[in-house]
Parts: sequence; structure tokens; C-alpha cells
Amino acid sequence: MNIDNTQSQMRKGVLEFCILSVIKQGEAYPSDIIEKMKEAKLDILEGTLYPLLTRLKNAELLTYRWVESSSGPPRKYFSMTDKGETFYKELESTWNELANAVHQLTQNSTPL
Amino acid sequence: MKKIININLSGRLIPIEDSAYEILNQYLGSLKKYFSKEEGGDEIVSDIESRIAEIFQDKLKKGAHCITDEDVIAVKASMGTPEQFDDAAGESTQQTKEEDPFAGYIPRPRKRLYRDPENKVLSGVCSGLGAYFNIDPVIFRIIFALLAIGGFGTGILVYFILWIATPSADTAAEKLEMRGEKVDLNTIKSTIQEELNHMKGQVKNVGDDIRNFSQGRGKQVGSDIERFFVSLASGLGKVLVAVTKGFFYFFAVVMLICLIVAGIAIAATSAALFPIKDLLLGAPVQSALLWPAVGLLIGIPIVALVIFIIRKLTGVKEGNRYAGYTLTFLWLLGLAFAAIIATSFVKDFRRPATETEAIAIQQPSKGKLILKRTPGILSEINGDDISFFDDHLLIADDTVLINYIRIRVEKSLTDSFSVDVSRFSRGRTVQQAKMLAHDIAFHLNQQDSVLYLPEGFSLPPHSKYRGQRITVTIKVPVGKNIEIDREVYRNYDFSRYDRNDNGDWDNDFDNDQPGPLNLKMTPDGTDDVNEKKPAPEKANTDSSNEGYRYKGPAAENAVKAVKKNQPIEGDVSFLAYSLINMFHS
Repeated sequence: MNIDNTQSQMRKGVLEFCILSVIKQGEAYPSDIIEKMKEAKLDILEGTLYPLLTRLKNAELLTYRWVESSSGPPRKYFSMTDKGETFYKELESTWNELANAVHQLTQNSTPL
Repeated sequence: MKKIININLSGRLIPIEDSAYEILNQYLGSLKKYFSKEEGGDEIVSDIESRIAEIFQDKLKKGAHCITDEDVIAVKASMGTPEQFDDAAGESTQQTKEEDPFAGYIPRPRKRLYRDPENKVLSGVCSGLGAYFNIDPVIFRIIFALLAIGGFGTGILVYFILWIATPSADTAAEKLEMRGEKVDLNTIKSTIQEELNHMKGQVKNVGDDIRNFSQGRGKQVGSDIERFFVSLASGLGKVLVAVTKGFFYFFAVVMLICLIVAGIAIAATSAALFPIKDLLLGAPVQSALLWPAVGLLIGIPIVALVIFIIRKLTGVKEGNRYAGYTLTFLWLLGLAFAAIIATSFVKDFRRPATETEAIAIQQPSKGKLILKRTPGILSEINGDDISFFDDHLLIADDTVLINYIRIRVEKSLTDSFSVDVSRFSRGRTVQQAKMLAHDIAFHLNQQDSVLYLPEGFSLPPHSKYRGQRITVTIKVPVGKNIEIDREVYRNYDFSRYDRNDNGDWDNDFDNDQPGPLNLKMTPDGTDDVNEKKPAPEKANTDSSNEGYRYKGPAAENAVKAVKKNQPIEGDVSFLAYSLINMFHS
């Protein structure tokens, strides 16, 4: 077993959920999302964020609009669709269940 | 010193160092290639591009004069390379690094033949072919079905070969390769760089290939069967495919060697036949197709060989498959031309005809006719002559000489010597054969009791060689003698109506025997005057043919033809004989 691989698999699973969480808080520009995730110490490569956003957008969970920027061409700002909201809610409940389960299993381990 | 160039990146003007631009360009190229397999790939790349442009612009705003190598490398590090995307969260495929050593492998921009599992009916061979040639796969299915029914199962065989030989396009990258990708300067450049990297670890590559093969392709074929034989089959499949592939490589090498040998043989034959091209080729179609046929039959294997060697030297594993198909097609075309020529050529020899002329000769004094050979043209021919058809056909300068002359000694029915000259030829039609026979220039010369035979005969200009020959039948009356010079029975196809019918070789054909052959005609056939024989056996010469020394079916037939004075129908043995000799010479 490769530890890096397991770690990346773990991260992979929650990445979409995290991105959706950030966008749920309001319209977001990709580099803002990166910043927020960095703040939370969840380092991801920018290069992996763009394809993920495009995929979510193609799945109609996200939408975007062009916002004029002071410097140079307009930027893409992502926001969540209604479908995205429902999707997010489902993810959230799954996550909560999972987090509880993991928490219970790893922290409150009672002797058998 | 570095050159700075201005680029437009997502609508922003960026001054960038030349070397930095190279790195950036290559990086964006690799991203494009990586994301092109994904839906909305262009959008992703343009998003990344505009993000990079934004970062660069920030740098410039902060006072940088231009973008340097370090800046680009920093951007690359924060964005990540395609290899890193696979390691990280980007890919949604199930494959992990351990399962597939080629997960991070960027496909080369080449079109390859895969099986297309998405549109498969049986195994995806036809849909893969369809994707490869950009044709509706239904067409291939129909072709295979027709071949399977009409071609005695060849369709099934070819299908299975393709099934084993072609991998299934499972990953997005393979699907992309299956459909082909546009080749531009950047992709070529990166391919060459890849190639160079591969060269460094070529030895390792061989191992990788085997590993890739057993883990990748072997597994794929195995997985098709796995439905039935779960785990056993993957091992079995690996072995089966490895053995089959090994066999095909062996087969390919053998085929290659055969092709080269065939090419050399054809080249040698063509070179040998070149001087008598006009002499042999009759119908316009033959002359018209000769050069295309020779060129294609010899040229194509040479071209193929050169391509093969270049590929081996440069280490390119696969080339353009169209080139292969085109070469094969052209070679088969050459083969078809050659077949047409051969068929037409054989037809030129189909009809035989004989023209017999009785020549009145002066009766020799002393009742003895002497046969001699005129020394002349043939003996003057020096080393630069070319012989064909078992030395019957000689070419010196512009002259064509044929020394195919048969001498027969027979019993005359009258009490005088007489000579028959039969001119024989073949042709496409009986008329043509007759004409060619008539055109043969052949003259006997008599001086007192000596009959001089020319060494050969020549063909008129622009005539064709169609197996012309001369049969001189000398009829000797009973009780009269004939003396045959040693030169005659050595140099001509000589046979006599002999009273000894034991069928063995007589010593009169031995070259050791000195002096001329003296024959006396008896009612039962010729008798060698010089030969000391045991008591004459009981005459047994009722049947006319038994008296002749057996010279093979052609000679017998020729004798018959002379006797009956009519063409021999269906006598193809001479033609076969001539052709065999032609290829031997």
C-alpha cells in the first residue's frame, strides 16, 4: 500500500464537497477558491480545480457569469444552481454521517 | 542575454523571455493534450490560460519587466502538471498508479487501431476499424460477414487475429488515439522529445513493453473471457496472447524474407529477359504492363524494406498504417499485372503449326550421303552472346539465332535419298504459328554427296520467338549408306530409325567415339557399320515408333508430327520445358 495514494484518494473524495461548500457561500472566482482552501490547509493544484469546476458546470451543478475586472479581460465567477443545492445537501448529509462514523470509530473507541 | 517577446495570453499582453515562452508553450501543449480527452477540455485549458495570464500580469504590475523562466516554473508548480493531476484528485477513473503503470503516460499524437468497446457488437473490432478509417463500422461488419460465409471462414480467422492483435480502447487517452488527434508542430516536437527520453532507457523499455503487454493487453483480452472463466482465464489469456503474438512476429519475419527472395528472383529474371523483351512480348498489353509490373514487384518490397529499416533505426514503433496498406495494394497490383502478362504470354505459345517442305537433293554418287555441319555464324559468336531456352536461342548484337534443329534419319520408301524440312512454330493462333513457321529462313547446301547443314536459323527482324524449330528428316533408301559427321550428331538433336530397339543408349552418342558415324539402312532400320555387334536379334520393328530411340514425349510427338504432317494439339510439354529453362538460365 502506498501512503500517498491512500491520502490522495481520501482527498479526492471530499474535494468536490469542499469546492461546493466554498461556492455555496457566494459567487467565487477560482483563485478565491484556491485561497480559501489554502487557508483551510487543503492544498490542491490549481490545475486540478479547473477541470473539476468545468465538470461540475457540465453536470449543471454550477453556473458562471462573466464579471468585468479592473485589470484585463472579464473573469468567470461560479455560483451554485438549484440542482447544485440539492446535490450539495445530499453530499452534506453523507459527509456528516461519514464524519460521525469515522469520528466514532477513531476517537471514541470502546474496548470490545 | 535573452530575447524578450510579446505574447497575447488570453487577451493580455505579456512580455516574456524567449526560453520562458518555450517552457510555457510546452506546458500548455501538454495540458491541451491531457484535457482534450475530456468533455469541455478546451474550456478548462482556456480557464487555466487566463489564470496564468492573470498571475503574470500581477507580476508585471509589481514591477517585473518581463516573465522569466522562474516565473513560468513557479506557475507550473502551482498549477500542476498532467502527471500530478493523475496523482492528485483530478482523474475520476478507477485506475491507480499501481494497477496501470501508464496512467500518467501522455498519449502520443498518433492514430492507432483499437477495438472500440463502446460501440461493440462482439468485441469491437469492426467499430475500432470504423473509428480508425472514419467509416461506418457497419461496412466492416458486412465485409467480415461476407468473408465468413463466402470466403470459407477467412473472415472469422481475420476477425480473431484482429481481436487478439488490437488492444481495447479502455482509457480516455486510448479512445483519443483511436480517433486520431491532429498533428501540429507542438505535438511533433513533444513527440520527438519523448522519443529522445525513451531512447535513454531503451533497454528498460523492452522490459516495460513486455510488462505493459502482459499487464495491459493480456489483461484486456483476458477480461473478455473472464466473464466465463473468472481468474483462470487472465493467466491463460496472457500466455495465449504472448504465444500468438510471438508467432505473428515470427510469421512477419518469414514473410519479409520471402518477399526479399521473391524480389531478387524477379529482378534477376527481369534482368535476364531484358534483351529479348521485344522478341518475346507479343500483345501490346504485355509491353504496356511489363514495366509497371516489374517496377511494382521489385520496387515495393525495396521501399517497404527501406521504411522498415528506417523505422527500426529511429525507434519509431508504429508508422502510418495507410502507407502499409498502400504498399501492399501496389504490390498486389504489380502481381496482377505480372499474372496478366504471364497469361497473355502463355497464350502466345498455345497453337502449334508445322510447315513441311520436301527438298529435292542430288543423288549422291557411291550411294553414300555425307552429313556435315557448316561452320558459320554460331561458331563466330563470342562470349557476349546470351543463351536462352536451353541454348536454343542465341542473341548476339541484334541478331537472333535459333539452333534448335532436329535431325532424323529414316528409311526411304523409294530407292532414292530425299530430305524433308519441317518448320515448326507456336503462336497465339494457328495462322500466326503458320506465318512464323513460314518465316524461318533455313537453307540446305549440297556439294556432290555432301549435305551441309546450317548451324542454326535466324528470325526475320521484328519477328517473335515462339519456340521455332526445324526438323530435317533424311530418308535413306534401303541398302544405301549415310555418313554422319561427329559434329552433326553432337550439335543437333539427332535420332535415327535404328534396327536395335533395345532402348539403351548406344555408344554412337558417346563423345569419346572418334570419327564419323556410318550408318547403313536396312529394311529394319539403320545399322551402324563400324559397330561390332552380337548376332542380330530377331527383328521386332513392326511398330513404327519402337524403332526410334526414346527422346521424351516432345521428341516423339515431333516425330509423329513430321510423319503425319499436322500440328500437334495439346503439346504443352515443350512450352513447359522452355519456360522452366528460361527461369533456370
